[in-house]
Amino acid sequence: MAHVTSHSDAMPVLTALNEFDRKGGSWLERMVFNNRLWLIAICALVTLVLGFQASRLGVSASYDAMMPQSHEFIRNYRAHAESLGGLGSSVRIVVRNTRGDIYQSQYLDVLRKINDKVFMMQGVDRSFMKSLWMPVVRWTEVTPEGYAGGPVMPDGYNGTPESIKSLRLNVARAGLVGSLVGTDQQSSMIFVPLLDHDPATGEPLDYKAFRDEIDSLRALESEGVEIHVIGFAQLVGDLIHGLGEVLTYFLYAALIAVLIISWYTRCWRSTLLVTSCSLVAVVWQLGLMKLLGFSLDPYSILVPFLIFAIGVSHGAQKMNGIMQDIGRGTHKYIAARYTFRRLFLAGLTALLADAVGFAVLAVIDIPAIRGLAAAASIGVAALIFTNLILIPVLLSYAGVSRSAAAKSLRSLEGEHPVVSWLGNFTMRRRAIVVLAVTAALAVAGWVVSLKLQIGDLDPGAPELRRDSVYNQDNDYITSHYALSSDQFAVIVATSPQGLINYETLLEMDRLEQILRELPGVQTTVSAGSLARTFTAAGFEGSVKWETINRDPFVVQDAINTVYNSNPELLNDDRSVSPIIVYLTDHKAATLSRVVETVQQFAAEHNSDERKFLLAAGTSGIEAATNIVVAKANRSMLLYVYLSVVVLCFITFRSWRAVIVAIVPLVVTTILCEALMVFLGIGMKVATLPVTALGVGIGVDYSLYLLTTQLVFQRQGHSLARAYRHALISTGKVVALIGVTLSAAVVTWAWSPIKFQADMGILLAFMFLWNMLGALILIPSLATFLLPTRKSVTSDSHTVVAQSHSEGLGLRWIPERRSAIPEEQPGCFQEASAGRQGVL
Amino acid sequence: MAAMAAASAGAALKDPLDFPAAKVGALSSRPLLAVARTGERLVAVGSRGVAILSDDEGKTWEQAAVPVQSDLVAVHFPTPTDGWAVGHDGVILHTADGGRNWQKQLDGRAALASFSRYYHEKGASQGEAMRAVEKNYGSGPSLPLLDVWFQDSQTGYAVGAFGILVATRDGGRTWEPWFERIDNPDMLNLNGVRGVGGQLFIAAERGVVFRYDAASGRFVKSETGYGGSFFGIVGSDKAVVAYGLRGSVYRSGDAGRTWSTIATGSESTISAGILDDKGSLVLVNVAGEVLVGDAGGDSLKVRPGWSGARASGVVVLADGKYLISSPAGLRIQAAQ
Repeated sequence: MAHVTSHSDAMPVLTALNEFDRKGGSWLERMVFNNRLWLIAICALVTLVLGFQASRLGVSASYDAMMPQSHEFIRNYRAHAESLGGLGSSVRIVVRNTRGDIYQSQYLDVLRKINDKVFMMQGVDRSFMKSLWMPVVRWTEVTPEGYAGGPVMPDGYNGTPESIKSLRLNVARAGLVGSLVGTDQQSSMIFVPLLDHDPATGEPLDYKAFRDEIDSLRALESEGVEIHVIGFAQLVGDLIHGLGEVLTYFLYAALIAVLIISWYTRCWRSTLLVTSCSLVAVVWQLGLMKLLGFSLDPYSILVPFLIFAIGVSHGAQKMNGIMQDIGRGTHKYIAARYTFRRLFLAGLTALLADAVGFAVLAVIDIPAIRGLAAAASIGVAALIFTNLILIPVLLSYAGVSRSAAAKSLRSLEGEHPVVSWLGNFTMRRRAIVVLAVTAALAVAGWVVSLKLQIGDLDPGAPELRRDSVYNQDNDYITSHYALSSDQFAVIVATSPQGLINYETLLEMDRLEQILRELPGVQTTVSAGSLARTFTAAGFEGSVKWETINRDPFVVQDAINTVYNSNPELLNDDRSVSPIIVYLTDHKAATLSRVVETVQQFAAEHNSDERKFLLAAGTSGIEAATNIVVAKANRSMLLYVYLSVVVLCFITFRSWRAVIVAIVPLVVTTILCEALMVFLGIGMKVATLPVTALGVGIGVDYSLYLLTTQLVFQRQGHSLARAYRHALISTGKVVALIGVTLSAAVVTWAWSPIKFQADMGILLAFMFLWNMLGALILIPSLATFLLPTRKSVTSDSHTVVAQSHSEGLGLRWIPERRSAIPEEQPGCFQEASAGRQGVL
Repeated sequence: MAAMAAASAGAALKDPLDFPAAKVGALSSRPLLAVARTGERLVAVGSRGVAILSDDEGKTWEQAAVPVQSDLVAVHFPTPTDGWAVGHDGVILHTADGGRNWQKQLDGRAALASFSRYYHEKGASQGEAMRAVEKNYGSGPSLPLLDVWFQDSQTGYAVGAFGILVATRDGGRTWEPWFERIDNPDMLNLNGVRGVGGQLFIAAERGVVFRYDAASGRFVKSETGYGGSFFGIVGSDKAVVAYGLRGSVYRSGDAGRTWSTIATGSESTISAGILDDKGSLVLVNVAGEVLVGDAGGDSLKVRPGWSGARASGVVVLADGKYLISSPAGLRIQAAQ
């Protein structure tokens, strides 16, 4: 890029505007700066339009979006979802009587009110809804006469002691205690299966509206009941609710960023300009998301933070450049153009590096993560306009305060104690110590990181904090109901009527027996094991006839009875039936044990007539997600590092430099995994993007620092001197970016949403540690890998590198190598000399 | 061979008759459908070929080696070492080591060929018995044997659904069909067989008890006046007691010639009963209650047992407590 190397000639300090050649610079620069008002007008218009769109951007989350779409388990589930009633998304509403047990007419009346309201709610799969008031909940009993049964709520219930007595009897006969009735009989449950999409309109379920409706039920708590609600829809509703709170953290993040930048620049005018432009980028991003049909979900809500922080960092650089030019006396318009000329390409490359980190996320086949990747890419695209183009243009009008401009120049002189401290890491002895400590940390971190768990580690909803209402409700329900809500379903698929078959039922029963032996399995339920019990109904209730019989008529009878009493256990066609496994927890080890067991069974027992397929139920979906996450973690790391290596090589054209740039990132990645182990955070959908984001953004540091350092080295400066120069110029920016990014994301740590807090802590760690790694490790590694071949003896000038280093196009350096005579300081020092003349 | 063929086919069903019972955990929580005492040892059998034994009065259990996965529903030990268990798929298993290792003597598949041949050799006069064999086994081994009783280590009987009655005189090396030796033209289910006071009885459907008449070598029908099913026979030298549906108990003081009903105060179906060492009758029902009476069987008193469990069998332990089996496993219940 010729404009950089020749910049001393092309960018003279011009105080008067009429001396400036408006036809200079690239076509892009001419187009932008010769039509400034147009550009600002267009940006204002775009901001208005997109701002309007952004205000209409909805928040949502869907059960579907969390599933790894093309995974075999999910495809199996999808293919049979219609036949698997009650195994999709659902909520459980537990209504506790605060005045005693449930056998009181007042309680039952309130329960009926709640039941009827829930029944009418949009999105409820009414045919599979269960509660004491639902006629589908029946008691069945094997009697000498065969099979007897009826609705648990007695026909003609009228609140009299007699009807309550028969309700009590029916509850006992139906064995509902522990499933639909609390073990202490003081509460009962309304099980509400949901349709993810409205069957009539195809519209996805509005989780927020649903959660608000559920919340309105709590008004009935004044009538002597207490309501506890768990289930994915409620969880998502809570998450969406939490998003509002998260947005307030955005204000804190913005405030912190403003403080950091204003501290750095000491100029309110430009600080506000930079932060506003970054906000404009966020507005554009949100508006574009709306236009492209996305909505904010608990994952993509975090993107604005990142975009804002990245925007602020890059904006600060632009400002820095302009300040120095203005400080030297250059007219603000010309200073803005110079800055644009110098920094547009560098900024673009850095943003592209960030984009790589985001783009790699798209390899993960989970819509929520892809949404995150898309949102981030859109945001980065917006940043190119707002921060690389709009900021210089606006600064060309606004300028910066004189005192700040003067200060920015002063800061280039002398040597800050931190700079000399960091600079010493190029000393061989210190470098060895640093490398040894790093190696020790890396090895220790790696050993710890081997214990990294996949999936969620805590009971309840790990998305939310332990003390959230949801998790308290979950604790109540877990402690008062026997059957866990961690359900893993194996799908049994046969040809039509294929379930009415001795062999199928026998195989189902066999798999259940194997599963029941596994640690972590509470119990299993399926048409197979129920058929056993119901077969006895055909033989006067004799215990000895609890069997799966070979006779087709006996099997037919048993299956009919199963269908009458548990319609969710097989479809009308008698071709699809779940084996529901109730798990004690949803730890990855428990899930993978079930998965492996079923896969082994399927390999031995699947035939043309019947197949045992994985998987359905919340835990089944989670098992698939875990598998995808574990696989994606490795492949994503591979891709992100591959792309970063390629990017670094294009920039540096030196494998040694690539190693110097990559090692700090690798160490940080390892330590981040170790930190996850220490903090008890599992590798899951939420934490998966952290590494990609951390590495993608973290490589910026190395790019900035190393390019500058290499320029100086290639001019013949000693490593120590080159590194010190790099520190004074870009090092400061690196530190600034590290601190700003960390400050922006660390505010998530206060989010009511646990996984956002996890992400915040981990990202803050990665941004900070990458920064420290770059500042400390790069000189130490360079000591051994990148020593200057020939040192310049005469080094009398104070080298002013700031404007240069920022102007480093990322691809120009190697070609310049031969162009810079080693003996002479070259054009760069001429430029410096020129500057000093100005001072 | 059958096992190997099935295995090599891969996806073909592994027939429960061809594969040994799987090793399982939590033995005392398995569905167990019968329990028996043999000397110092307790043996219980149940679903999916599970047989377990205990040498410490039910404190700890170990799993026996059983060559089939069929559901076992009854077990009897005429001697401390020799025992027989029967169940679904028409299996008869024998143990010679007190219940630790079991061998299959007969199953529903083998029965068809063997019984057809038996009657074929006997000649044309056996047409009716032949039809019974065809009806019971023609569509595969779908019918269970429901009870087994051995008089000694050589002579024993097993009964089952739709009138199945088989007997052996050589400790089960050969089992003969006895379709022609019982007055059961309606092919009533035969639910229980037991020797009481030197006589042999079969409990059947429709209130029928069959009594073995040594002179004619046949089981003869004895109407009790009851219309429902009997599930078993228990008794002493003094009386024979038949029990069954809805808590029905009928007693005979004259070796099954005349019967009278006994009020039990419980309406739950009685599934098993024994005469204990002290000469008391102990019965269990599907409500988990224990019914206790003296050897004369004149009256039975309902005692609380394992409430809610569908009790399937009972033995009395050395300390006088009851060990009750059920589809939910085993439980030791203090006698009250």
